[in-house]
Amino acid sequence: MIVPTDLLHSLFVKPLQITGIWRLAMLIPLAVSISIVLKTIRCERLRSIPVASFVLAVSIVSGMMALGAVLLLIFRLMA
Amino acid sequence: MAKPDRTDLPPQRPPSTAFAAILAWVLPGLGHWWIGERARGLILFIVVTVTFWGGVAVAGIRSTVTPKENGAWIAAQLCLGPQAFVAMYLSDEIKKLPNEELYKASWPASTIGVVYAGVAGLLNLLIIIDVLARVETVRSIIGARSPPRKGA
Repeated sequence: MIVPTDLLHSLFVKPLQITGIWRLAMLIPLAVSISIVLKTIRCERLRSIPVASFVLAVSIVSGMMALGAVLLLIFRLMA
Repeated sequence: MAKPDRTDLPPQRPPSTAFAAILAWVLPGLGHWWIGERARGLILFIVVTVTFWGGVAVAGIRSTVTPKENGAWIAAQLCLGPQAFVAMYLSDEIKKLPNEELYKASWPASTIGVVYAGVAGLLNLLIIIDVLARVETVRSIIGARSPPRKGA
């Protein structure tokens, strides 16, 4: 049985090992957080927050991916 | 039909701008809660707190809120208020342990955790600015409704 102190220890004290695709995937929760906060501030009606946040999060992630692809292309061309 | 906010029906006594900002710094979303925007305040509290402690969970508390190692990021993280100070205190406590190197995050987890916590702090700064704007709006509405003073 896991006692809460052990759980807290393994959750917040031990760092995670992040490798491979997870390095890029960590962008998604951050983009979602930023989107929700921005749209919670901007939207007057609370019901419009989920859709507006989703659209903004997708825009951020796709924009970052496009920027990364362009930078990779430039890097490859200059190498 | 949407329920009216307290911003639509302002109280007779105008809310204090400074107090709202302090509440928003002490706990993300508490300023919105205080001016009557309770659902908005609850959403902001959950999202910002989960982002900050999510960053701490990724990098471990030893490597996330450390002034000596993270440079200017600490300024952003401390915008989150007492939660960031608690994390900084716990980080210092872990550094005193003999085997503290075990709790030091390696790259890229260290950078990801620091960025998450820093962004959470910057989002709280945005929330503080928003609550200031909302309180000023309420105050201006109350000011417009109140009867003019004698001799004015």
